[in-house]
Amino acid sequence: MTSTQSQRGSADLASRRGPGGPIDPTASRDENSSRTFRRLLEYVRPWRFQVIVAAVLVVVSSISALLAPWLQGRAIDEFIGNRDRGGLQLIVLLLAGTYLVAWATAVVYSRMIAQVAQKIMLDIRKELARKLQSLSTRFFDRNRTGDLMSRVTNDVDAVDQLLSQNLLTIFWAFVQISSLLVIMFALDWRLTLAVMIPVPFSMWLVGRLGKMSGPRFGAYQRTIGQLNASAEERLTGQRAVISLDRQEQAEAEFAEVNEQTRALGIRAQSLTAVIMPLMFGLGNLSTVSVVSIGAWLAVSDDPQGGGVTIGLIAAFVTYASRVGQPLGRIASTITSIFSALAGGTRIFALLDEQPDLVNAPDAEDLPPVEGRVVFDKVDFEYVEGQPILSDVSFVAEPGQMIGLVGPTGAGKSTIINVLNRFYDISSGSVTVDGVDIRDVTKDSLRDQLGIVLQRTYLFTDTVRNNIRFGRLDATDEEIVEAATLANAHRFIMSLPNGYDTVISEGGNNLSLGQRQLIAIARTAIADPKLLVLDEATSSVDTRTERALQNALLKLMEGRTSFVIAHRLSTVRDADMILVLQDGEITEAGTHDELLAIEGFYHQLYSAQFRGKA
Amino acid sequence: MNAIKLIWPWARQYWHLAAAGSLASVLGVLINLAIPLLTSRIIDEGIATEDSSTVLRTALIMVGLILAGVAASAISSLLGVRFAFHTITDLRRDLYSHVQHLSFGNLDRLTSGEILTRLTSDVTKVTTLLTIAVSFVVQIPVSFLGALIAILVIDVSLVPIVFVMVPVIGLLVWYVIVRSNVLYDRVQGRLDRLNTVLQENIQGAEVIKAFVRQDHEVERFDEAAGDLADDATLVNQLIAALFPSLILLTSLGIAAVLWIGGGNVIDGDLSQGDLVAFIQFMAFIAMPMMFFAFLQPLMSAAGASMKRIAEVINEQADVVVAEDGQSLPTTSGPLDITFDNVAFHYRADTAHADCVLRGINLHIPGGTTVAILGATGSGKSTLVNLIPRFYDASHGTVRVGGIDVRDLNKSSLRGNIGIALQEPYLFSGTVESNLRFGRSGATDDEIIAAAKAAQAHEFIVAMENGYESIVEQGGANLSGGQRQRLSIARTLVVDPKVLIFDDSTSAVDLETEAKIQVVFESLVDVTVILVAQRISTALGADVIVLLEDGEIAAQGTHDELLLTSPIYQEIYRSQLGEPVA
Repeated sequence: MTSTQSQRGSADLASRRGPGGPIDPTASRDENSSRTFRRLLEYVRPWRFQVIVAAVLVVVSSISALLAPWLQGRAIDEFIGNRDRGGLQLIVLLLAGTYLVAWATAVVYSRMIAQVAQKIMLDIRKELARKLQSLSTRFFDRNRTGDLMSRVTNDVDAVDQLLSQNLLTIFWAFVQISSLLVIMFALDWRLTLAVMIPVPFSMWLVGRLGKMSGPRFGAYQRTIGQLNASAEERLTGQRAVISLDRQEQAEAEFAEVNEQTRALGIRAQSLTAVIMPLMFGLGNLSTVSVVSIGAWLAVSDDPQGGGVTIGLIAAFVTYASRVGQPLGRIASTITSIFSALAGGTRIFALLDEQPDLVNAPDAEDLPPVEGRVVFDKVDFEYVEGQPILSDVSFVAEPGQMIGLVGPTGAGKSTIINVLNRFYDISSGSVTVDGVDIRDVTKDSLRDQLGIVLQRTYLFTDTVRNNIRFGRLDATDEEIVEAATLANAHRFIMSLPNGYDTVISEGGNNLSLGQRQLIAIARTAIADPKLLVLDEATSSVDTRTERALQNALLKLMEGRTSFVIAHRLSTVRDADMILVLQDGEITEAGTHDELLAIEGFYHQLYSAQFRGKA
Repeated sequence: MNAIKLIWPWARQYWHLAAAGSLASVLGVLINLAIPLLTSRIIDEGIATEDSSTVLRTALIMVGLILAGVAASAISSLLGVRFAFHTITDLRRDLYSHVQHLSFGNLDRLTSGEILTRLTSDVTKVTTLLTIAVSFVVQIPVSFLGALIAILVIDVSLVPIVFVMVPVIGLLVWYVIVRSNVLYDRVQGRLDRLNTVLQENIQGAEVIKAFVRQDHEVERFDEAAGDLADDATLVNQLIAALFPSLILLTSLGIAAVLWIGGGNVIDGDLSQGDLVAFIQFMAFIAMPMMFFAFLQPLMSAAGASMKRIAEVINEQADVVVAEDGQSLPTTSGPLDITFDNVAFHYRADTAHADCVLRGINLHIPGGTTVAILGATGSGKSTLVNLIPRFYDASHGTVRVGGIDVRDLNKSSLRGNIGIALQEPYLFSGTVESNLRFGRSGATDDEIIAAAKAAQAHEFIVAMENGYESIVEQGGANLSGGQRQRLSIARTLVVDPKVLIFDDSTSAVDLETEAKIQVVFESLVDVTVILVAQRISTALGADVIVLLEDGEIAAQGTHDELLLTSPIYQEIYRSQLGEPVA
């Protein structure tokens, strides 16, 4: 682990854009936006039937909602004006009918869209989850957890806003405006113009504010991002901050970016804050212009010539109040469209990430193996000219224990990562029972290979389920058996809820060593033919290690095992010890053979017992 | 309302912004209420009397009023924004500062992710509410009452329509609020679940691949995402149906007004202009209720967020290190450390026998090097964490330089004790900025000297940009051994009188570790405590303390222990792998 980590680091500094590097979309923004948009529409395609039905309902709903004011006007003019009580009641009932149609269609299409929205969101999330599972470990080394998570949660939310809400809103707004215009022109073109007088001005204003708000919101979002990033990092390392007595410094740093956020937040939000009152005011101005121009026309028109009537003015007053609505909704949609497109770009950057390790096209499953592992002239490098393994050859017979020793960075862990195909080699071959591991599927290979890593990862779940992760159909008895084998049973039973104790993220209930023991039990239950212990006992104290050693010896029986260790005591019983230096095998043999040649192994052995009298 | 009460301590300071904003918003509402009345006047007086000058005059008054209304509402919104951002900036500052004063015990209970969510998304929800609260909180009742009064004045016989419509709308809004609150809670729970699964998918990637559990994880994710989608659909459909329904009820009210009011006009009891105004006022009555329905989810979300924030702010620090306690004399020589009958447990209800540490009596003379050896879970880390008061002893006393650590002030305590933690954490930045983190005033020479002592200099200069090389968050681009060595160097830069290394060389190879040991031994006038798993780490120490199951099993020099302690013999043997000669 230590070795690969260091080389992973330096290698990736040189090849940041390579596979497994940080996600970094590089295409230009405009080109991206339209492409992103078209790709996003693809997710709507499976739901096109629902969307088309919803669109038709939107049209029906809008038109019936707009017929209502006209009917109101007729009620006032023809029936109230002509004192026709029966006619009035009839038209009011007709009016109520259009209201009901508008309501029913609106309810149906909003509910349909709400459902489709969630379905689309689920589709995108599922696709993202599958992609994440297909990517290599290198990818996860280079990308922050928080960033990846926010693509699956926040960015998908933003995109969903676009697909389900914003597109519908824009469509609705266009339907609303066009049917308004048609109805109004059909009724009276002069009053229509009166309603529209403030519209160009309000469009200009919305455009202006939109243009201003882009950069302002951009700056605000950036400081928010900074604030999150700095807080996240400091809080994750809070124990380091405390132990180095740097709380005041952390507070001061945070205060600075916090104040900055306030200033930029006020700047950005102030624009949004004035849009609403402005739009409302413009709607009122439309009302005034309709009423006053209408009144002036009513006074000057010939009352007999089918001119402007009070009912007509009343209808137009209502229409005037509806002109502002679609415009205002479009205005408030613009910012969320931009953030959706940005979210979409980030989602697609992740979806387009190429897995750098793929199965060969004709790969078959590895049949159950005996466990003969052969490395033949294996070379491996991340970056050209920087070999990490060169000319590594060895044979591990079934059931043998192979020890790997050598200084930090010599390539011990890389050999393991090559064996389980976390990485592919550059030249040479690695075979298991004579089958080249590149010719079989990764999963079938890993199924037969158990690993206990130096850095254990346990899930937020019960101890029992964590062990069962190694083999999902394991019975409770088998779990206890595996835990006993790993010397974990005793301490597990001393936990508050035994095997049902939930292991928590920051939990102080388990020490590093105890976590390691659970991880060993997890591998034991998987019962693999090939076994890798990568510094598996480094966090366990020597006494526990000794007890564990016996368990591991039992576990290793009948399996080909690879053991990486700093402590030579761990590997002294190995059938063969490989000494690695700078990516090459410099010495190989049993403990006694290696001591006898008095080479590097001998030096390491002596260093371990420095101070011995 | 709960949200408002909880946020008040921070909002109070800016009450004048909120008050001025509310006042402006009331002004805006009153102006808006005048518009229908003026409309009615144009229709009745202007058209009926064919008086164009009345029409023109009234129209001009209306334009003036509208402009004033826009100005008033805009000012109200702007003040609302300022009020919100000033308040939450203070809130966020206090929240962060509070976290800085929490101790390790608190951090064991609160994960960094939880604190971060409160600092970011929870604060954002409060901001959203506060921003609009100023405009709406007062506007809603004023606009409602104003329209009601106007209606009463115009025609009492139409008032029953309002009295039917308002309770029906009220009931509908109330039902949706109650039901959606239940659903929102469920959605929030589903979302938390999705986040947890997702986080484990990412952080556990290596394990998942090693065990070929990708399908299992994808299934887990699909289930969590599917549950979320189901509940989110329910709540969104509920909300989606609310607004058309509110419009329907208002519209039916208007139809009723036409039915009855139209009759009144026919009877000559009501003017046509007033009927038109009445229809507009109906909207004024319904609108506030719609706003309330729209505001309510924001309020309950902000209330829940504020409650979560308050939980953190009300979290009492387990250990409070006073700024004004006693000082250690600055001129004195090395500091000795004494544990006097110390016991420690993490949870208050722990029985004595189950304590992590029990009956610890230990004297570490100033200037010596002590190694603490022991099994996993024997309490080694806990023991050293008591010295800089990351935790406080549950019983007994820990003294540094003869003074109870609980009486020492912060700069004396933490300034004199340097500790490199078991799991070193490096910050994103450069190698240099990390080394300088503990003492910003350190010179370049001091930094290099510390790096050399920690055997880090060599690999640092071998990096592409030497001391200016980039360190990724958590030191992700460095190996475990490199991280540990940088952590040791970072602690050495502080130059404290007591140095504690909590298993700081476990990932460092033996040769390098031996070199670091030599440096530790050569430090003059510094008390060094080494927590160790490996016996090689302990061999050079003046005294070795053997900890077993929370108690000191033996202490002495290497030679003494080899003769007297069977446990030590066993450890030594297991290290050597051969019988003691």
